[in-house]
Amino acid sequence: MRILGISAHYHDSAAGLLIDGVPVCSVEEERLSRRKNDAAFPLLAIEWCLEQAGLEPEALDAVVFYEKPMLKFDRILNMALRTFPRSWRSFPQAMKNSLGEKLWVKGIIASQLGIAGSKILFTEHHQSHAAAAFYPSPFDEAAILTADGVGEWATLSVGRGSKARGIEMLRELRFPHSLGMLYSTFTAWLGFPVNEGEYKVMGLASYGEPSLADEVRRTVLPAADGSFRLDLDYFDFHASAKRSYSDKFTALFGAPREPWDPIDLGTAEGKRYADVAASVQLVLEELLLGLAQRLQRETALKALCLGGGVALNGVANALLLRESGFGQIYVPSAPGDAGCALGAALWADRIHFRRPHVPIPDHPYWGPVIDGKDLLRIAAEDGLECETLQDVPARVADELARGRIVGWMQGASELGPRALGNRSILAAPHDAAMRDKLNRGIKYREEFRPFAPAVPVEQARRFFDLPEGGERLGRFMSGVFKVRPEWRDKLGAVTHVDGTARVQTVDRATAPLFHALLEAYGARTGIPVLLNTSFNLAGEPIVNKAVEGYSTFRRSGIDVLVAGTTLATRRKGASDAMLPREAT
Amino acid sequence: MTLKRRGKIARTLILMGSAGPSIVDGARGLWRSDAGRKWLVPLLVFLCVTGLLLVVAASVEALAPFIYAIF
Amino acid sequence: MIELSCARCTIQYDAPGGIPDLRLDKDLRTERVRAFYKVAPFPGYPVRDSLSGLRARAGRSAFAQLLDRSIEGDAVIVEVGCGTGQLSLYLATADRIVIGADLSRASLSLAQDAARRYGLSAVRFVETDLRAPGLQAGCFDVVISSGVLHHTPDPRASFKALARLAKPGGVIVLGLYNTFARIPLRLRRAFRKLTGVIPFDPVLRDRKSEPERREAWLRDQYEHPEEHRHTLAEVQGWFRENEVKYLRAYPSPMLADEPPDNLFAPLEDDWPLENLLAQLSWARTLGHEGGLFIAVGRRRL
Repeated sequence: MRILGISAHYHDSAAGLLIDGVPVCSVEEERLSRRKNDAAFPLLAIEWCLEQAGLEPEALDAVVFYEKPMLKFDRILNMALRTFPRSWRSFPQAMKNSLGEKLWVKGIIASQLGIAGSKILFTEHHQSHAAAAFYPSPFDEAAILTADGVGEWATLSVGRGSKARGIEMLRELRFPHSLGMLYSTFTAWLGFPVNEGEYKVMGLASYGEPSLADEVRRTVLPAADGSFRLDLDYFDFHASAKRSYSDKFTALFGAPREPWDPIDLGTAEGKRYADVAASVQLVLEELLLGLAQRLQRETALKALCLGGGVALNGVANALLLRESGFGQIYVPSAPGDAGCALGAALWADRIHFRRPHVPIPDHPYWGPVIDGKDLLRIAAEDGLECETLQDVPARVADELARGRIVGWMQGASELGPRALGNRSILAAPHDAAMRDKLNRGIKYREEFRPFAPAVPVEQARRFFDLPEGGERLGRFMSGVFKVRPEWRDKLGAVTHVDGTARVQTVDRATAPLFHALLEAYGARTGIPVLLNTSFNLAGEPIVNKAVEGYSTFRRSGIDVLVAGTTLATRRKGASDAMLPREAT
Repeated sequence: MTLKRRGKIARTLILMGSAGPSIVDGARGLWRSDAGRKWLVPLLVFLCVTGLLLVVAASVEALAPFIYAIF
Repeated sequence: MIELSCARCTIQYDAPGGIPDLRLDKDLRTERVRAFYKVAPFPGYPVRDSLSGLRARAGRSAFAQLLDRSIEGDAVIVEVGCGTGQLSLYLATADRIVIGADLSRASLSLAQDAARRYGLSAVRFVETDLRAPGLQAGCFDVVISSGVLHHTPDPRASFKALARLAKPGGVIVLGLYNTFARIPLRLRRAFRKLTGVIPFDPVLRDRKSEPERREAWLRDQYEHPEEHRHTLAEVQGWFRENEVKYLRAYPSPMLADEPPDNLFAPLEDDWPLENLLAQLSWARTLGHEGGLFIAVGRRRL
């Protein structure tokens, strides 16, 4: 049975292909279209998936879309009516947003792929999240918790999954009460772009004290059933298309930050932003922990699968692992909407078609494969000579040990927002100066955002304070853990201000070459840890093919580019000779 | 290329063809949900038809290019 | 104070405040423009700014990102008429070397201060006049001049001087007011003359909360002492006269064209009638910003 899963139209469109119950490939549209967070109908991704399997669209048994557009429209219409006097201004905008292509997904799929309408299925948004979180997990039985901004109506759902019996959803929380929207509202207030800026809030939180936690709690009311409701007086996202917080919110927390105002943590204002970030992070953690503990008591299960955008919050994930009572937590590499393409396909396969579970390979590498020969050719056209390496880990470890910044492209690209060693920029993790160099010269990120370390899983405990299950949670970089105090100085570029790091624990079976590189680096420096950040420039999607890697390499301070066994070294710019030196 | 590139007219026709069932789907869902929302059905159908016209008449919307007043 | 001397001849230049003064002769019309910018450096900086703030602003502009993507990481760039230097600073990444040249010392000091604040060392600002720039001809990979030539007394002659700066094979990125796209602003300006009110200017509205930047836009758009407007065909003529191959314009002068991946890739088609129609449509799409369009050419080898 051949099932194509599609997610689209909100953010991060993607397609994924499932054949006989096993994923074959999946990729985000942005990686192919080169438009960051591309939300268009993922034609390129679909085409690539079909090409990978050598399939014509007619050969598909089903095409599954990851949510039900009509239900979503129903929600938008309802909210607009319910908040009527307030919403009349944003009503035309909301209608225009949702009445276009988004409503006619069935027709679009039928017309673009040329398949019969009867083959097109729809799953619910949170079902897709749940399937994406549970079926690829290593557990036979697990509790499932998915949380994000909003799908159709559900914003948070809990359930239990069994590989033999399927997924049973227990409860859901409905819009406008939403953990994701709560966090996003603060993201917007802090002047960061919603849906991508949440990382920044988390990074900023470490610089602050949760001194405003009581104020944040005032916006979230506990509900009788153990969950919560948002006090809608503080929010406006349900009634307005422009602003997600209300005047009462700004009365409580002060004026929002202008996106281009710098955050100066030395000033009282900068400190206040950090404190607000720390406070909302704390409240999010409390709410999630309460929900997870209750779910654990209820299901008495040992493992938890987390899905939805909120599962990208590594600090909260690590807290759940330590304190929720679940001994094991699995977060897929793409817990957000991009992972829903495969999630929807899995739901259709296991639940709709009632087919038995088949084990799913436990890795995040579902995208296009890099070819080192492409780099050879592209560099030659540009007049740059490349080397072909015999021993890739040894040579690259040499370069890294010499303080070089390496662009590293190997194998198939990762599904999800994190580079997990196949499309990464790597560097020595020891010196905070390296972090500043990367932030200034390549990533152009705010100083308060940390870089992540990668370490062979066998040696992770030597450097990082992992709770039980931490190795597993760290495989896709889903948890933030303490760096052991004695190593913080030697791991200065990857240790955040609060002594933590978002560790990737690298498994030899999953990523053999990356694992070998870490060991080779360890053999040279005594510390088998590397700084690993996604291979892209600010505002661009992660590189996919050699041509994008090369272009990024040429436009940034990356010293060495490796694709497959091909290695290119940066020409030394004439920069120093050209500029007149100032005497003063 | 695996996917056939259809012309805009062909795609629009297929889309129109599928719109009827989609609207019925939506209306049915609303009808079956709680009783208080049944009166929304005509509104939903009306808006859907409007939306369909929007799609058919869709023109590429010009985004502000920001060439000069960037900074 | 630093003194520079020309590598070719014996002229000595002063560099007060670290900004070399490469200007030679001074004529009246140019001085008038210079005096104009002395009072109102354009576009100016917001009260509190940072490199990430600058990058965030640039992030809103598909054009700025496209330009950055299209320029090699080790290119030598000159921006002629850099004003207060934002674009120069934005482009000064990787191994690039950027020279920002301008007529106005007041603007350049702001630029120089910003470079210092941001910790950027690969960018250098010089005070110069574009007709005798004092910069070595034929040595730049990329020559950028946006919103400048139409404020010079003889734009066609200015272009000649500009084109000489590019290396053979180097790229020229030229931003000018378009004859058609400028019409909405001229209507607004005429309306203002009659009634004293500016009816509809999105940039002014956008800057309501920043009076200084609002004022800067107002002066630049509505009160400039010297202004010309040009058609794409006219610019293509300048290109031909100066051995510059026309690559493309931005926005695309092909109707219903996708935004390009590379600003320096030659356009597939160049059909005068289509160009004309596209320029008419710019009155709608570019009008809100004063009708500036970009033409890109490559100096022949």
